[in-house]
Amino acid sequence: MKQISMIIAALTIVLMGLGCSSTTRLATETIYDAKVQVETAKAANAQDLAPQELIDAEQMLARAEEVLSMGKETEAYRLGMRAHLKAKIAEAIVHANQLEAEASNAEGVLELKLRNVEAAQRELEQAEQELEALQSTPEE
Amino acid sequence: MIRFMRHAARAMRYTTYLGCTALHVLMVFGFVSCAGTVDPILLETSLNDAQNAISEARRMEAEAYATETFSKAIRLFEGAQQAQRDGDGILSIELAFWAEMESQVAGAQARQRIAKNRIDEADAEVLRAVIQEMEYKTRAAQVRQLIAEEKTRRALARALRAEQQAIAAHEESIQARQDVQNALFRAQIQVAIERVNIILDDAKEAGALTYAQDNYRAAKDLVAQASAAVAQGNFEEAKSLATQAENDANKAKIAAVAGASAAASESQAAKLEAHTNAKVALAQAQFEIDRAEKVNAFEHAAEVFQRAMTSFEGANIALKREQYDQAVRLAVQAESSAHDAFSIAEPINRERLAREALEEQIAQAKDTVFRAKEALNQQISIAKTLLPSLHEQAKTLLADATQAIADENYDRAIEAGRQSYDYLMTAIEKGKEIEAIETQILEAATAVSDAETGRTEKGVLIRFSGDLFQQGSSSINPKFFPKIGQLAEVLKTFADYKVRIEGHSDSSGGTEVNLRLTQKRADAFEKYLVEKCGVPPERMTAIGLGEDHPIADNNFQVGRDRNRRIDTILLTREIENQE
Repeated sequence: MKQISMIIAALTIVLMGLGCSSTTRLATETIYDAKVQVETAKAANAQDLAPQELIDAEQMLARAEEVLSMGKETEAYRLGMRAHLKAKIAEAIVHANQLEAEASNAEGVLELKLRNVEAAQRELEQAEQELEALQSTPEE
Repeated sequence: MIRFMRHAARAMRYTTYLGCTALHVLMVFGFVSCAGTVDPILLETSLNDAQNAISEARRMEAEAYATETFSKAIRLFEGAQQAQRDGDGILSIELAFWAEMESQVAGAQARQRIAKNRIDEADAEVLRAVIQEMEYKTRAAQVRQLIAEEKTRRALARALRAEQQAIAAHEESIQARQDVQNALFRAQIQVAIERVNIILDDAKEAGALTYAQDNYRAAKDLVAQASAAVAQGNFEEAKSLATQAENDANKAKIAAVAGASAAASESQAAKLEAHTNAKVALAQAQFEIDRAEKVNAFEHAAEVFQRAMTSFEGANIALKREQYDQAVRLAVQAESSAHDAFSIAEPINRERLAREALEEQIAQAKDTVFRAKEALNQQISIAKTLLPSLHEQAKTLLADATQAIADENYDRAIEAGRQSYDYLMTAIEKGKEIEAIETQILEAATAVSDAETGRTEKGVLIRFSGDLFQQGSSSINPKFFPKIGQLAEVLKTFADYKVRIEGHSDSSGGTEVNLRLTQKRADAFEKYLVEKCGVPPERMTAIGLGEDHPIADNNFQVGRDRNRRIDTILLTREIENQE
């Protein structure tokens, strides 16, 4: 029983050691991912189209780097995740805004085209009426 | 240690909610374990925020359009609720926060999907609308063509009738002049013949059949020949014969008078001479009256003409009563009055003829302008659109013709009206030719991959846009080489037309930089067409126009992509300028 307790204790120590090195790596990777996501959002013009989400993401990212440098990997990981998610939201909003603008533009074009269709139809009807009137008018 | 093991076990359980590895969850638990107790109001608020975000995402139809992200948000929220039930407040807040953010992502993704669907639907509708519009326009153009043809046919028929009427009137006028001339000749000769007959009557009475039979018969024969010549319209011959007859008649009369003088008393000779003189005076009066009648003196100088007629009738009566002096006096009065009537009536009659000629000219001018107006009002869009300058020239000439009518310058009106009509007919014919060739080019251009095509005011447009060039570079993207080759085939097929290559940019960067860059790109494009595709360089002109001619909104990427382009234009409409 004592031997088993010793083995468990040893394993626990190994796992905790592994855990410590893994948490540092995970926090660093998460912060890196968040940075990439923030840059992606900026490239998509989030400054103009989702400014608040981008600011939130950048502030969280800065705070995550700060606490990582203080050795608080868990807190850094948590803030990095939040920054990553905020940046993701910013990018998604930007794309949604752009697509909605494109959709509005396409619908505007459609409206214009439909008006053109109506105008063309009226023009056709008018021409047909003119032709009918002309044909029913006897020659001088 | 026990606490750590317990956390590890719970971490394994929460992986279901988080959808990530146990290590990530351990990190969260690490934070949780480091934290202290939690404010229950803060916990409740976080859960409510997450719940609201999920509801908002659901309202945006994220469940249908962003299923995966939305499911993740739901799982996170369930995890937060589970953590609350397990008494892990901090974990619950953290999971609720993640659920809120994932919900926001799901909402935005749903908006993207919905917007994409709207774009797809709008694009499809636009395509249908364009096809419908083209169908309507084609049918309208066909109907307009029918109207134009019908109007042209009617105008031409009217013009033909007017022309025929004008020709007939002209011919009638010539015939009338000829008739008047002939009538004048006939009257003059008949007066001469009548004079010969009078002389012959006198000669006969004086005994010409006894004393100058040869001359008398010769004169009679000549009179008969002269009358026959008049009837046949040989006026010159008739005049000559009448002159000869008069000579013979005079000889016969002189011989008769001379022969009879021995037997006749002096008074008889005098009486005979007076009779002859009266007859001659009456013939001369008759000639003048006839002349006055020809110029409608009975209408234009009624009183004077009537006086001549009265005197003439009085002279005839006096002659019958053998009052020869009275007959001569009245005949002279009649001749004088008839001459006066002719003098009054002739200029009036001439003026009337001139007025009729002028009216005919005015009618012809108005008809010419009418034809030109009819042609101009036919709404022939081909001519107006494709050859605007020719159409404008026709309009200017028509205005000139209309003004000329107002100024009573009818020759000018006829000339300008005819020119305007000719210009319009030329414009219509050339417009049809351009329309046909542009349709052929557009059909051929469908073989050029990824190119927009259409008509512009200069000619047929074939457009490449997007990533034709790399950012800030004038090097052509190699993936466009085959497409430019296809374009070159079209250009070579329609080798009669010049080509304009226009480079355009979006609004990124400076105006001057963009201007230079688009010129370089247009030059590079032309160079490729010449060196790699064999298009003759003398046909082409390359020009960079910078960012000043956008075709889409520069605020969005899709618009900027469209604005970065090379427009190749086949200048089908430069025929007009060349001519």
